[in-house]
Amino acid sequence: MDDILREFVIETTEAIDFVDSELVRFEQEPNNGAILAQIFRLVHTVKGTCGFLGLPRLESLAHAAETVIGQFRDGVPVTRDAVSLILETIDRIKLIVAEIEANQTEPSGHDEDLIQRLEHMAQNQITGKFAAAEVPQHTEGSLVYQVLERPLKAGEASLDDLERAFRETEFSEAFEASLPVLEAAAPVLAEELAGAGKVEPTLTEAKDSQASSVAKQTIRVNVETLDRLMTMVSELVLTRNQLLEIARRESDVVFKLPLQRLSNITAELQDTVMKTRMQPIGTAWAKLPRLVRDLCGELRKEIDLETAGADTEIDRHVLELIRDPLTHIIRNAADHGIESPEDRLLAGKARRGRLSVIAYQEGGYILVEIADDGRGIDRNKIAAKIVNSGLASADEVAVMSDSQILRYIFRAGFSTASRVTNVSGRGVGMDVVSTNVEQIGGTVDLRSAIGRGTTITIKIPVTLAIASALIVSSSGERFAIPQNSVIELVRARAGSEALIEIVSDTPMLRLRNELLPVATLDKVLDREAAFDPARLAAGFIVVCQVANRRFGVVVDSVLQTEEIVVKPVSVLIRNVRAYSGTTILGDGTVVMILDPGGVGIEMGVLTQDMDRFEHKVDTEAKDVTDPTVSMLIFRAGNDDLMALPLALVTRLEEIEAKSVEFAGGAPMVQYRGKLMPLITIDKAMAANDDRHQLLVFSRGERSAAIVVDQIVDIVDEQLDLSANVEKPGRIGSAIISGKATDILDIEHYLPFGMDGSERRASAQGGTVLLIDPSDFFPALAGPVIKAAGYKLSVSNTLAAAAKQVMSGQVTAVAIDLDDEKLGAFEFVKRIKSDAKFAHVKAIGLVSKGSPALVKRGRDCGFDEIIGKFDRQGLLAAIKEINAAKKEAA
Amino acid sequence: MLSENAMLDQSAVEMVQIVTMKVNGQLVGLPILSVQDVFSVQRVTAVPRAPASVVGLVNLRGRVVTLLSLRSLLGFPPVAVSDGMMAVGIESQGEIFGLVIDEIGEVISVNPELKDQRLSALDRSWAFASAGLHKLENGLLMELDLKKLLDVPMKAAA
Repeated sequence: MDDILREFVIETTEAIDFVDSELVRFEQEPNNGAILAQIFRLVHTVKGTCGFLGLPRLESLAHAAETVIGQFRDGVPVTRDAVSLILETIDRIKLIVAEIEANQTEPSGHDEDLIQRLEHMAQNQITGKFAAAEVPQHTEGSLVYQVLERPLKAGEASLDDLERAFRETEFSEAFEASLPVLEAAAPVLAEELAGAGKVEPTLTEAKDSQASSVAKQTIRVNVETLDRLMTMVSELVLTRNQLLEIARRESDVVFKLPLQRLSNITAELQDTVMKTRMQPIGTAWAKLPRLVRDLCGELRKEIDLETAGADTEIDRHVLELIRDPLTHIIRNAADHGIESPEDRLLAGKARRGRLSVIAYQEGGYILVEIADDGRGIDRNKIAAKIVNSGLASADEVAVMSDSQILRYIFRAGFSTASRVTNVSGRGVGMDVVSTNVEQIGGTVDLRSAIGRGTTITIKIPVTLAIASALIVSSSGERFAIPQNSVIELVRARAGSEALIEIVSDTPMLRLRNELLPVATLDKVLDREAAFDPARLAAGFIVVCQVANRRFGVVVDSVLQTEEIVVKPVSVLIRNVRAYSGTTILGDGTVVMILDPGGVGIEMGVLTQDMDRFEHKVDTEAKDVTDPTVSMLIFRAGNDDLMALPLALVTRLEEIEAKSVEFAGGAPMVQYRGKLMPLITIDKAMAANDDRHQLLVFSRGERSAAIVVDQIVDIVDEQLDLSANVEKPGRIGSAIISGKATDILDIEHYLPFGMDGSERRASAQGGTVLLIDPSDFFPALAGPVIKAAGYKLSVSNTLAAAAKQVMSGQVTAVAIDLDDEKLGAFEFVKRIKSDAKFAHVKAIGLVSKGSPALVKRGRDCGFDEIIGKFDRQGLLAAIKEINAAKKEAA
Repeated sequence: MLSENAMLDQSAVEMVQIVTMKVNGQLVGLPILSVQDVFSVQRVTAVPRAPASVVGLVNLRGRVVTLLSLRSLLGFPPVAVSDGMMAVGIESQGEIFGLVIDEIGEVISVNPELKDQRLSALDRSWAFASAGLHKLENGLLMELDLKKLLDVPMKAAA
């Protein structure tokens, strides 16, 4: 393409984009003369340049549009129709420019339709204006004092334009653009000259000289040149690193000083070059005002767009990648989020919806928040959609958290729109958002409140080219781990806060009170077949966090941190998820850069699509970690998975089917010299099995057994229980090992409670207050306490618990001691030190007891410290309450 | 031979220069224009989990070069890569690869019109990567077709 034409295409495209958004603003603030002047100038320049280059179609279009815009400046009221028509014209111009870019010539065809409408509009506006009577009898220029003693005719350039044209002729490149202005101005000029003396073209200092000097301070540089510059600086950084490496080894100091200077200059150069790649993030949303305006028209909605932080600077490459996601999110918000004006009024909201786009920097990341005040996302609707499209079963969905469900929006092909509109609803879009953002190491967050709106937060790194990395080594090979995903480095040692534990053949890292998945890097990279406990214990553990998942990667040693220049991975290695790039270290060796996300996927900690988008709110809310519980997983009666805390089960037994006897119609088996009732769950015992597996439960002398079809597994897991009391015999359900599992309410099945001996003994028990931050334990222990004849009261926080104790209703408190943060010890100390409440029995519940803990508990006034799942202990402790009461009586 | 050369001179055929190399005893070659570099391999970084043909990465004057084993690409028995082995630098899809070979040979001129396209003479598993055969005094030279050669690993990685 010839240079002038290329220049024209670039400039015109930019100018048009600008006019696009400015016109929308202008429609809202029709009295803003500055905007109008800018718009007019831009359209005018386009028109002029077209004439110069011989592009008649563009020229006539721009001319017609200019006439209408010119009239606004002359005081014609700005109408929505007029703006729409001009925007339509601009779209046509865009099309033609795109064609020129592709084929270097203007496409054939004509634009009579549009031109006629524009002219018609101009005509109507004029008549409207004249009808409005107040017609200025002369025209004044505002740049310098000059007067033309008649109003301007349509299509004529204003005096200010003439003035500007005069001034701009100082610059040769502007001259071309100004020529047509001059041509258009010729008749006016002639008149001005004719009325000589009345015009005083004083060449005073231009008021807008400031603007033009700013323009002179920037130059247009080819993007490729910038990219090459960046590559070269990267190489320079590498060379500098190499020199520093050599200097480290040499004791000779002659070149240390100059090297230090070189190092500083390189760092500064790197900084400066990085800056040249930075662009204000606002350029990514320059098109949004127009988009929102069009959407309003299409969807018959009224939406105000607010933006803030447009100056936030971001790497050009990153900017390109978030352009599309932004558009998709805005479309979605306008189409699905914001309601129609009528619905909004009904919901008691302002008629006009509000969309806001805010960008700000936080550490090495840019956060972009896109918020609407629309109807919010209905989790149930999405849950139904998930089930309908077979992505998960109803049971699975039932136990998902809100954020887990909402994240399905980011799946390809997932759309909740009941109807497909032009704007969105086809199910593509939101997945583009997550794909693009993930590609550059960012994350997407979604928060939504029904009736109040949805906020999507995109978190992206400021730059991608140079990163700080931790250099580690494993089996003699070095690797780089990007430092922004590394949380901490620990070593597993006896007595330290980090310990490696083997849970059913899988190593886990117990770090303070968290249990994290852990694997050696060699295992992740298939260089080691099985995990080797000795290596796990000897190595350094790099604790990584991706989204809100943490996991440990074990390496042999940690060498140093280094600023690395990220180079792409070879196309042949690209499908190995564990790598995100390569780099050359200071000593000249090539190392692979690990992708913590990919490593997490290889370890099975993260799943490929969804789980990298953890909800931020989730992490905040869930920072109280439930301790793990050993659960026995089995199937009985049907195919559903069921689970019980292992601690509740006395023994596992297997019997022959023929040993089952029937007493009074009920199945029994002889067990340790006694008849033990067999209980089935949900249906009769399968007759065709020749052996039965039993879970035996004993209470003192008495035993009963539940017949199960299959024992699936025993796992150690943190339980996130969803109460689901609708089903009889179930406490609720939880996700165990990734599968939805019903937690059995064992009291419902066992006949002990029905026997009544315990219940009678403690008939007038009183109230037991159970304090536990989780939902799981109270659900499990509650029935035991109730079965023992006590009123049960549950409290998740100490504040609520304290109120109840103060009310004097409580006979005993049972408090969780696992969670340090709960502050159970201080709480009990306070109760016991108050004479009024000293009689309240305090029972401490722990998962793992230790002599030190028991002592501490006793010192604080606990009457009893028992294991969480020690039912006997709990019952005994409760019985003692009664005993104590009787004594008191 | 003489008469053939004389004949060639008369017809003024443009000769093509081929960089020859040996791999598993077989003489193969690449047109000199497709060879960017011939270098000795130093300090190879292994890439765990990479496809079998990728033997590692090296730093070639500030560029990261992916080393491919020509033996592995042609289906010959592999040899562990060690420092000092020779590699031929080639470009494909904007990326530089190093083909690790057993031995580098000289650059020879051949007449492209005398290239034998019939692959029947080459009834071997590695014939897939052939761009034709050149008959030399001391045997046959198989000219490699880079695109075909790299097609298999590229497809596997896609």
